[in-house]
Amino acid sequence: MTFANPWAFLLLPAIIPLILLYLFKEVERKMAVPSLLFWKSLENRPSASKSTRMQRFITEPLFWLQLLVLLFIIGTLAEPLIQKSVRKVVLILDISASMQTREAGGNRLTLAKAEAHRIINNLEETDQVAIITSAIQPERVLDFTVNKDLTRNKIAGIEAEDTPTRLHEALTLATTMADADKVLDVIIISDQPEERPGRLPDQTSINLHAITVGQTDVNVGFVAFHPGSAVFGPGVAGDLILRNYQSKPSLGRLHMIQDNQSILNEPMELPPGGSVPIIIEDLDSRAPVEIIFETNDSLALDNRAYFLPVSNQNKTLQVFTDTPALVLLLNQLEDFQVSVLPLSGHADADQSHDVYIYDGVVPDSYPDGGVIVFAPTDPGQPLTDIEIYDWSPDHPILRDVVLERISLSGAALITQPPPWATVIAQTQEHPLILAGDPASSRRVIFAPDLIRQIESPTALLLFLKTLAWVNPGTRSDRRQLKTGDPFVQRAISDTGKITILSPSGIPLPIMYQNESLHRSHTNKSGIYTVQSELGDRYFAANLFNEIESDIRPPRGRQNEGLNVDLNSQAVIDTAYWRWTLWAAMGGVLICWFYQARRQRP
Amino acid sequence: MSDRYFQTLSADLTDAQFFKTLDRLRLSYLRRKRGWTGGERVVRRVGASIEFAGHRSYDPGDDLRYLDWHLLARLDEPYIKTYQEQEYYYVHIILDASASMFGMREGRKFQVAKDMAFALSYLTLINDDRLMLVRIPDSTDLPYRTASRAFLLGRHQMPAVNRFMSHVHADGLSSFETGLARYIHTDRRHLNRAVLLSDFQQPVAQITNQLSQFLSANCQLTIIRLIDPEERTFEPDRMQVRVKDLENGEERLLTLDENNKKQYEQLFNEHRAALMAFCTHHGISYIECDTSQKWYDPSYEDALLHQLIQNHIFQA
Repeated sequence: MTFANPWAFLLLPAIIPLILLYLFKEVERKMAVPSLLFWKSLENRPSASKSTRMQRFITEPLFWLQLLVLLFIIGTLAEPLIQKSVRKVVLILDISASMQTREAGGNRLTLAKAEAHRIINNLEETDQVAIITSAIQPERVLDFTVNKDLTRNKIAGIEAEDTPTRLHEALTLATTMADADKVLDVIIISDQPEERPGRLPDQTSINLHAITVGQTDVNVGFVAFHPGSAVFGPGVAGDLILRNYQSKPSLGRLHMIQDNQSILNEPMELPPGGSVPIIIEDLDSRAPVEIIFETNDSLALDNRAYFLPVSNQNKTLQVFTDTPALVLLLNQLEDFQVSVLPLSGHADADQSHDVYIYDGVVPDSYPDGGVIVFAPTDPGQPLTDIEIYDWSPDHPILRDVVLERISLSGAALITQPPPWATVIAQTQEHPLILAGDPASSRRVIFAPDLIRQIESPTALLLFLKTLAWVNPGTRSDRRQLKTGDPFVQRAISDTGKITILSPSGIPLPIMYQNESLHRSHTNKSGIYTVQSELGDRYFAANLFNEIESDIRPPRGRQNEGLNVDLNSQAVIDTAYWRWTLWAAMGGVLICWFYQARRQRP
Repeated sequence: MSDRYFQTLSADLTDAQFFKTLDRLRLSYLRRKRGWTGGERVVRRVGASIEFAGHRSYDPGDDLRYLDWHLLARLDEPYIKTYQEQEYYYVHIILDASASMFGMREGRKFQVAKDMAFALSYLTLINDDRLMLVRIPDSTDLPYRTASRAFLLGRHQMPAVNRFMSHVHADGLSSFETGLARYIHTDRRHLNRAVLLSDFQQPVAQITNQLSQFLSANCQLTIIRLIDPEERTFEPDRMQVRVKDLENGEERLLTLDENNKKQYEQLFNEHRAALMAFCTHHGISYIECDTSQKWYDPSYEDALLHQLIQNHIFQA
């Protein structure tokens, strides 16, 4: 037992006045007797109990009662704590898109809930449970509690999201719930292999357990969609990638629906383990499009894709270059209004264009909109390693491009890639092409001097595909998000009051942040509607996550969770001051009754 | 019995049961009386009476009222007329009215003593015996005073008994040594039966000394000892107790624990045993009355009145 407020024991000397009170107070009972005949005789007997001052309180029950009450009051003020050894368990429940995979007996989330219920049923009454859901953002659904019914109700109310899994973030959150020097049992219930969570934070007090649910690995899903302009001409286009994760061919029908009308319905066969690009061109309407690949697989969520067709008309492009050939080429692009500035004026970008091209220099700050940088001369050292070693053939820029035909002579050495960039082509040691879309603005940096060889068909194709990729539509219409991405609406003053409707038509809460409209819970795939004074506009949210679509629970380990050995023995302090207070009050009552009874004639 | 007597009785004695008991005892007593011979009940000797017995020679100093003037005129010899004298049965009921009789139950002990004295007086008077009610210590403010030495005779004297009872209180010092001795020596001739009601809270030697004087007066003595249960024993509560003498206010401080309780009870029982042994040895009827009991209840086997009858208190 410990005490939260041991200073209260400084009040212990209060016992001394109580003893003094009994030493000097006349506390004896008075009794009238007919005669002192026997009492005198008794008094004179040597074996009779004598009456001394000490006996006034030693033999006085009321003294001991009052002493007990005083001690209980001091004990209450000292706030006694009794340390109890209990288990603290954090349940991390995976609610990502893959948990919606159909399994025998329901989907994986249903199986995960059943596992969670089983664990809770096996816990002791005093064990504490907390619940964290893990999707793209971890969420603490329930703090530590011993209330098992509440825990079960919370688990029953959990729903899956259409977002990818980030178990590591959930684990990091769980570790923050562990007290110092206390052991915490963390149980992950997921369909992911247990090595997926990644490296845990340095927290030796965590006992990690993994329960894997699910068995099915039969799936076909869309993994990417790149809306954009047609390479040539004003049409509306887009690239859609459909992947078959199975080791056997998958047959199905491809449906494309726009304005509630089927504009495409044809059979399709996917090769085993392969991807099939679906090219969409020349759509007449700009209404949202829903594409469904109907097949018999287990995760229906990723068989659907949503996108918004846009056109390239009336776009503006600003280029900073001293190369006449580039200016000549750009002037041939009918869909762009091109403004040309010398390279020395690259710091004067006016922030109002759709695309910016920097020929040989990296801007100090990137403007909003698509950005292409060719052969940045800073730090000015040439690239010596000029052999292409690896590239991403599925990236929209590099698809159908024979990269070996690009000359790397005069390519710049990029020593410090920006953090938003992904290397899509590289030599053995250095990056060649960097691409990324920070803050919904797509940017590409080329180490090769593409402009000097623009007359080459391969270089021209690469340039045009890059131009189409960095500017898939007008800036205000570019709303193609992945589930879980934040939706950002700029220039709130222009749009007035805004309402965002979820794919199921439910208004969503809106959070304003840095004068932007920030909607971070795009956790369901589908078409979202933005209602404002300027009229309705739309954005689409798709899962498009190969890892999430291809989560294959390890076979043969499905029952591991049945034998989870919870060995955390966290020591918690339980306050007992209420009990001592009740004891003190009870003591006061007994004193009162005792005194009243004694005074009764 | 009239309702006016009730005021001197305990509240629980005013019920019909009490008087039924008294009447039943009276009938029982009368039946017993009818079975006796006259010689056992009445002692005949020459004295003042209405029945003529004979003549005797005049002695100087004889009362001239009893001189037979006819014989003097005829024989010129003085003769005194003698009459058959009937000796009555003299019952002395002596009530200890010292402050100790207030007892430890708010005067219950003294009230019981008065009730019993009342009942005994009633039985005595209805039996045409002579009754002397005595309060020890004596007091001069009583309407019926013991100093007058007036015996009561006949049931019409019950109002006098009632007045006595209503004015007597337990408030004096115990005076066995002085008051009782003085009373005995005052009238030894009529002291042939006595009932002494007391708690006997004196040393055994003092008590036996006084009782011996009764015996020397050829008195048939019955003592009724009244005891509050609290005097006999007490509940130990480890409390210190300051005991105060009801009579003289003297105090003592003692601890009420188990040890003292045992020793106190031992002292009490020793005192009681010594007193009982003395009574047994000298033919004194010793009766104990627990003041918490209904002493007049006929269903109570040790009821006091039954013991009185069994001890032939009213027999010659």
